[in-house]
Amino acid sequence: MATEGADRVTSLLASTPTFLRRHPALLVEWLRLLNWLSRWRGEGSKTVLLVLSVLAVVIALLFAWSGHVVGAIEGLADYWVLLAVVAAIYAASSVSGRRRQLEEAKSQSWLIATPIPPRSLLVSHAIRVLLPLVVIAVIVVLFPALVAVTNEGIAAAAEKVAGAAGGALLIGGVFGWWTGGRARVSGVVPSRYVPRPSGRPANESMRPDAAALAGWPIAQVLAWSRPENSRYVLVAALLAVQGGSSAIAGLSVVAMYFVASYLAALVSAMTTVAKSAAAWLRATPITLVGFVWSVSRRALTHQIIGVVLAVGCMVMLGAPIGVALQVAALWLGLFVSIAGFALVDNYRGRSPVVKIALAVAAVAAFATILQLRAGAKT
Amino acid sequence: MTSIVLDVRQVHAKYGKREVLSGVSLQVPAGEWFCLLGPNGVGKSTLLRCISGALTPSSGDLFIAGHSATTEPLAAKQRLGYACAPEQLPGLLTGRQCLEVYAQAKGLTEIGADVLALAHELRFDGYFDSFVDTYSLGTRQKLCILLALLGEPTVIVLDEAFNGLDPASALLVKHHLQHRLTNGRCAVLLATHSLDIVEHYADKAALLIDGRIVREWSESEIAAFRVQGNSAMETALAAAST
Repeated sequence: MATEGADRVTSLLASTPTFLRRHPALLVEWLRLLNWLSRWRGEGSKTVLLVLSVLAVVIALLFAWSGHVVGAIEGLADYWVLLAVVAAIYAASSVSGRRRQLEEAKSQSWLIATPIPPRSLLVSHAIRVLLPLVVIAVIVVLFPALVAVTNEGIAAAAEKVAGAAGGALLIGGVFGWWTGGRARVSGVVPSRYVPRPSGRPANESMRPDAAALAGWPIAQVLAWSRPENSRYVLVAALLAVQGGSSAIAGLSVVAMYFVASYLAALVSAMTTVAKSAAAWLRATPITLVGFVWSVSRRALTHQIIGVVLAVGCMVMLGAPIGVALQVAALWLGLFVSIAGFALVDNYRGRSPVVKIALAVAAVAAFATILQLRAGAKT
Repeated sequence: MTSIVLDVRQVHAKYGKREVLSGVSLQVPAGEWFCLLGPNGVGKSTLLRCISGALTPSSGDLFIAGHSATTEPLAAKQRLGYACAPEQLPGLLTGRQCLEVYAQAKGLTEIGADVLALAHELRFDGYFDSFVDTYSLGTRQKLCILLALLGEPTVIVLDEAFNGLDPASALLVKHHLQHRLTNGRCAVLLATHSLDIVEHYADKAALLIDGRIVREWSESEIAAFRVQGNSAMETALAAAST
């Protein structure tokens, strides 16, 4: 049995590309990716459903936006400087953030005590940090080119957009790599940005209370929203404000960005917390209704308040009230679906991924139908 | 005659296609400390996960204070005290919040004074208002044990719960559990590699190998090991494992 295992290890090494064998930290990620893919292959029908859901969302988006792509490229070409600035900021922030995360994770890594040369670690980090940006850059350059091939007359605009975005991503990526390497590894725990519970004196006697469950998703969002992450939302919001806008319009745009980013993060936090809370409380007799209500009640309140604020901002920016209410209803429906599936399925010990994907696809399809109907009317 | 508070009947459990438990049966009466022994990867934690409801057996059943864990899970869990793994604790909640939420989830009207007293003895009160993600392993382990003891459970299930505890804290917990057992308030099922605990605290022990119980030791046999000393239990365990 021991030799069988040893044979499998040597055959794995023999079949692995030499480059990966020379960089063990990268080899680990490669094997993780292969194992993840093979796990999904083993799931069969679930994988098919997930892929179909993703395809449905992509097709829905293409349907919704197909009429606007040419106009969007021409518009972006007019504002190519702004496009370049936004692309550079995105590249710098994402690369810097990812590099910082990897540096922080290095000290906790299971490979910390292995004699991997620092140069090999650097190469591994560089590939992991920069590869997603390279993929985005390729898409950003190829997409306008493809559109230009099928639409005469926008070749110059497409070239400008591709050049500005691609070049800015490259420059931003280099800058982000440099700043990420200079940042001190802080080792800050996630709860650093979560306010301590208040309202009751510390020496007051404890009593059974599920209030902390309700606050957990909000705490998770706050833990994610470190100052170094939040400032990028602010920059993006400020750049979205059109020149010549009134103060109210400008503030509305900035408020919208922050509200939207908070609400989106809260949806993600619900899925994370649902899984952790269900695993932690599995051995208790908490009922399904008690679990769902305890975890979701504050998040639902925040979503409703956030949506009302967003509707107000949209109306102030000139959107028709009917459209704003439609968007609000779609968003709330999406939140309830995603949070509901996450909470119920995790309570029952099942993965909610496929159902969530189907819910997103359904909302995307519904939104597309509404847009097509609105387009047909006009 | 003492009642059987934990009754495991021919439990089979799988992860995917791999069967980990192949017909495990054991009974633990009230007032008994039962230790589950076995090499790594034989299914000890899997059996405890079946008891806690984290894993549904593919066949067989488990009864906690007479309630089936498969058909009456909520009633069974009312009487169960299970110490979760330290990494399952919510990092963004404080120790106080964890106790309050867990008590609420168990449907309790108050947090027992004996649990709070044990927390004080374990010097955990200084950590009540700190976030769990700032705790060391040992501190998290203390919190897991305190959570398991909430609500006077009839069956207390611990999976290597003394790992990471300092010797003084481990001793306090053992004495606390003994006190509960002496009063007939509960039974304890502990999965452990520590033969010291088996020799000095356990009333019964069972050896799990490849998903089956291959050997059980009674109270008198364990007492005999204690008297013999000289790694007698270790030798017997090694012999039974081959």
